[in-house]
Amino acid sequence: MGEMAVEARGVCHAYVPGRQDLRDVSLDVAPGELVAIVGENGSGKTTLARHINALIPLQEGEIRVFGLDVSDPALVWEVRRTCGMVFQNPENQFVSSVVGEDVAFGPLNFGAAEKDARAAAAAALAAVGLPGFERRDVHGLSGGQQQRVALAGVLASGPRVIVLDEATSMIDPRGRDELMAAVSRVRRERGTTVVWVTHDMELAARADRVVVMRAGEVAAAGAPEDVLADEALLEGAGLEPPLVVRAWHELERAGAVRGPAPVTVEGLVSALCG
Amino acid sequence: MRGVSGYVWADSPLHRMGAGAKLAGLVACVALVVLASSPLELLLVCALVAALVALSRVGWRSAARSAWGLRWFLLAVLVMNAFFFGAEDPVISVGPAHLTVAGAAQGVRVVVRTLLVVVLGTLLTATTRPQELIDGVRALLRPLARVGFPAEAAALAVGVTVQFVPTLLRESRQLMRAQTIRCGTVVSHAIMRRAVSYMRLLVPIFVSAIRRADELSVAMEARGYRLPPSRRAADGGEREMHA
Amino acid sequence: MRLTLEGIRLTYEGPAGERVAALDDVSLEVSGGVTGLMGQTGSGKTTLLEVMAGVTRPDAGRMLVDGAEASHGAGARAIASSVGLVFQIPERQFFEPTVADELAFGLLARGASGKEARERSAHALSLMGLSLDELGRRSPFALSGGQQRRVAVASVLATRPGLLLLDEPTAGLDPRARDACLAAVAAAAREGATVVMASHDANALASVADRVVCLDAGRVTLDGPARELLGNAALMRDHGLEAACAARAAAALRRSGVAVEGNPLTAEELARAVLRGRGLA
Repeated sequence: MGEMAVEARGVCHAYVPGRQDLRDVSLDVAPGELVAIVGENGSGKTTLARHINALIPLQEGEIRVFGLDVSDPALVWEVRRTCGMVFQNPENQFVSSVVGEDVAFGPLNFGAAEKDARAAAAAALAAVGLPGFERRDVHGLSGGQQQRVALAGVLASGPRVIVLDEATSMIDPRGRDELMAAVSRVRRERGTTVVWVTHDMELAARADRVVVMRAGEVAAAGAPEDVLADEALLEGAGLEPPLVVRAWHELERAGAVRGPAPVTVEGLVSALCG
Repeated sequence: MRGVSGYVWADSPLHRMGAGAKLAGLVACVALVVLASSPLELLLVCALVAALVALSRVGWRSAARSAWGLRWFLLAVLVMNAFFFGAEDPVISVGPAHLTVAGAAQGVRVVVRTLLVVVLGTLLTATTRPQELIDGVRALLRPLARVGFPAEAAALAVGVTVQFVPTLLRESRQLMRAQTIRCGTVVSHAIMRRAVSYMRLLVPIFVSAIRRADELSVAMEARGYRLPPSRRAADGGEREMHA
Repeated sequence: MRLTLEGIRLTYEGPAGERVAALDDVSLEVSGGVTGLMGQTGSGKTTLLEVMAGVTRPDAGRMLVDGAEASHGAGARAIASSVGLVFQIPERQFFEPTVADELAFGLLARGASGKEARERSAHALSLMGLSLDELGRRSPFALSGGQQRRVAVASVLATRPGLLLLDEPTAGLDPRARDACLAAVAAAAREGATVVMASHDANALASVADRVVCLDAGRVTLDGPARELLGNAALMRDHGLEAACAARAAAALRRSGVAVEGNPLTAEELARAVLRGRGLA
């Protein structure tokens, strides 16, 4: 197997001595993959996400991002250039109220010349479907637009991995759809690897792979059809199984259907039509 | 809502000028405003500020925006001065209030000075990105770092404050409403209670400001921001690239 | 209580100094039950809740509380004493050193005795699936996000508002905290409160709302029984909004020729609707 985009081995973390916020977490994300990390509040998913970006010191275990050791102080900037992060609250991640300035912030920090940073910012804004937004005021944008600006701010530095930490939980459904479409487009055009931390099961159902976190541990990992169809597993992890799965199991109990549960609406349609 | 940082995207000599130089220039201009006392001197400073606005290419509207926001306050200052400055040679007297020419002149002077300072401040933020402003403050504070002053933290604080002022203002307005409702009182009848609750607003606003600053600092770090000492240590070539 | 809004208008100053309508001729009456308020960010939901709570004065139009003018006198006092408003991310308003003090604040300010405040706090918190004995002495700032939200909502519920207004109470919550929050909202309505809940979450509204009102650019665009709106995927999409997940699945099934009866809002209803469509139930 070739080099992994993200490779975590035996990661443990305790914010306070004695607590176990992450327990022996191992995770592989292949280049180009979209992996959803799901779990209830406090399950450790945000802690794991921040480790991938070297934002908190690694206490135990090993994490590599495209071969870069996140615990090596000399590689911190290389890690952050390789792996970008979009946060939950759009308001708390802007350094400038002018879109173009904010998006150029990353490239400038990573040493790009002013002109190159501008060009990278323009390209990144176009990639998230906001071409020509350079001079707009971030405070005048919708939540979905703000999160796409935040995504562009990360893209402008040319990362190979993007981590989205609950990036849709504070925006409306239209904003969520816009952000999801922008991420799909970026993956298609740039082949970027995406790690999406969420408790939105409809979103997780569209991932290549789903990782379920429970009390600091990886409770399950696998294809959405396998993981999300397991109602007992998800409920045990404090999550709500996708509506389609719950409806399917109702039908199954009534003897109307058989076989593995579909996890998306499209899956349900083809299962019932077939 | 418009950000208080208020940067106006344009290219002008003022935009290109270093933030440290602009901050020093702002201090010098404010000193001129304070020192100018005769109408002629004030007029000259007005002309200077007008020239700076023209030079900045941010547009008269943008330059005047903050001043316009203060219109009622300035009007009140003018009226207070005109009526309560002195009692000699009143034009009209109404009870304790005496409208005097000297008072009116003083009122105009105070208003003009305030306006000039506000426009100069607006001009600084309109031509300087928050990031440059932080760097400028840092450059000006650097000499103080030798005597143990936390110049880096102070520069960062300036940046964070500039960025969060509009959000915090909105939040505090909402907090006031929330507390009024929780106390179950009619707004206009609760002036005393509101005075007390202003104190109670400080805790949540403080907590919120710290939380926001914390989240922003993580977000900035994730996008490669670093304080200059480590920046120089990590790669020395970057400064040259900026220059 | 019955709240009547007639021709409410409110404008604010836009970025270029122009007047923007936040609420444009809104007429609405709520009396008992749970009314869901939907609309995109910026459509005026929050402003409408603030007007209903009496903390924001409209530029035009009038508001009546049980038939009495609400802008002054007895009507204004009636609103002030019986309204509860849960703002977005209400845990940001914490300021007391302990959870018990936080819950008691509003009650004591309204003249409740210490004992009474404690009993009502404990009851409100238990509606949220939390225990005052367990959390009472802890700092509200030290709780988890889901617990903080539930304490914040409970502090409003504890005052037993006759008019309970909530702005995105479930945003950012995980399923467990969300369900507790929704159950408490439903309980408040059963105890007689008139509830208005603004939310983007069609599934959350589907589980508690009797009626849904949709806003767009400050105008009421849809107003009807929750099932007819949240259960109609095409109608909601035409208004730029999302229907309940079950309704979207039902619409997709119908497009592919699968018979689905009625307007299902939950997984169980969707399953039954499919069974009925097949003549199996």
